Amino acid sequence: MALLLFSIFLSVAAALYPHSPFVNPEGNIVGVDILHYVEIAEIVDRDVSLAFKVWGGHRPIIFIVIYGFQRLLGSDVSTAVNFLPVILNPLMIATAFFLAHEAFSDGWIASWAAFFTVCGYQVTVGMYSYFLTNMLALSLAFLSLGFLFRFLRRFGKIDLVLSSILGFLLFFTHPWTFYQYLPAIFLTGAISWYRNRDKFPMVTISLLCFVSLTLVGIFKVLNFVGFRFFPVFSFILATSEGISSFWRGNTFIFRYLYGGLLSYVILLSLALIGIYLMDRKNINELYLTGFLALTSIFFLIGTNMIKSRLFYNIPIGIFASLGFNSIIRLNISEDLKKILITFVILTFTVYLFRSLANLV
Amino acid sequence: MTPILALQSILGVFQLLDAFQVTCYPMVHRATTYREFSLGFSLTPVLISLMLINVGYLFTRKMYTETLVLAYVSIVLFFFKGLDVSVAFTSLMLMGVILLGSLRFQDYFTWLLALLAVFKGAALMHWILLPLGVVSPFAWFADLELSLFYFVAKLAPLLVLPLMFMWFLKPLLRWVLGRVRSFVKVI
Repeated sequence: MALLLFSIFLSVAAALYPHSPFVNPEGNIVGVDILHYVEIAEIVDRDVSLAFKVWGGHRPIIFIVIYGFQRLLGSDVSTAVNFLPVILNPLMIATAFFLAHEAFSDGWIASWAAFFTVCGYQVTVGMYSYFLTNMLALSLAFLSLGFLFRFLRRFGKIDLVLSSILGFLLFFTHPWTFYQYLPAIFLTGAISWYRNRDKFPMVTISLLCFVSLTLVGIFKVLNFVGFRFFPVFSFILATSEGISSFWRGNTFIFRYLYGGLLSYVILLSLALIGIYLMDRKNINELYLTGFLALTSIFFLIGTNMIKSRLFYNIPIGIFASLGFNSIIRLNISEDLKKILITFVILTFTVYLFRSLANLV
Repeated sequence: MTPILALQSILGVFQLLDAFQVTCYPMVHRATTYREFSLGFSLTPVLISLMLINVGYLFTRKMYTETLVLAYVSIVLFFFKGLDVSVAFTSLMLMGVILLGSLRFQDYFTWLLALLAVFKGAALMHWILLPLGVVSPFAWFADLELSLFYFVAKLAPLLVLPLMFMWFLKPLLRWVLGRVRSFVKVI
């Protein structure tokens, strides 16, 4: 619990750090997309119903959140947008904790998942590019999946309803994230059905129920408001650069894009161990493996920007936590364990603040 | 002995990176810059002092052959790559030889991580003091840590491949290993 609280404290500090007058004496803008958000949020500020029309009506939730946050602060739009990470960062950390807790039923793994999420690239790259919508979407995805995993364990109807509502909200927050997280549910349901052909397919039915509830909601609104359908898949296929330029793109993403912040080798190594150790017999871990498998196909053929966004959406903190816990649980001395934990906390906190200081 | 070995390995790696002037592309104040790894001074005198202690240890353990081989390698390296590279490389090999001889890996890693934690702690102090407006005495550590991060970051594109495709690689690896095992059994 102490680690979770420390992670939440770090996430709030991370939102404020680049605004410090000593870190940012010239008052430079913090994120790439911040001006777009301010511009659109000012339109929504004049008439809140326009939240469903701006940006093609794809992402109304974030502008409603900005509108509400601005009213709560009693500030202008620019201040609200500048300080929105004060609530988005802790939300993402808390939801990562919740998802890890529901997926692995282990408070220790969940606490480390929260820590690796705040000190991983999701916060630093999120602040660098100002992916407000994406950060909110990740929080909703983590929360929705968390309730889904809880439902699969307990079969409580409220969990399923909450999961579906959050999935529905996710679609209207950031459709890209929705499309990345949803297909793996189909895949998990299908594999689960195939494995348990002789038994009553409760898991498959539950997953299909979740998907249908979410989709029914979406179709209703699509019909009502008239959004473009599946623009993401068509965009990916239309702009596919193919496998030939894969390596060049890969180097570009991890060396130059987002100031090289995605290239956190210790985090990636821990996540790699975690992914290797995942057990596909467990339905939650089957989902996470399926999610990675489906993501990797688009990662292989997508453009550099798509690849980077797909990679950004991976719950890397959860995988890293699994990997780190497998190391900690090895037969090593108590001294080595303690010093390893100290080293990891220090090195990840340095990464967070160093990256934030160099954003401006 | 292990604290000295741990210190020697860290300093040896720093010296080696400095000697080869490895390059990286760190982001500093939002701009991606080109940088050559540089400590600003040579660690050779310190490394030679540590090596002398280690050589003394090898003599007490009567590991004369190992000492002779290391001496030969260091002289060869000195003629081809100069003193800095020779000393850095030899100190790393010396560390390896002693560690393999003593097999005290847990002790070594405990000290290695402890020293790295001190280094990271110094860098963290710099970033914590920065928003407080305090002139940090740890700026050098923070700068070195930045260079190291971006130097190691070159591995990231490679690491991402198994990370993304583990779902495919893991069963493939199992299948290949299974085939190899049955092949060996047949033989």
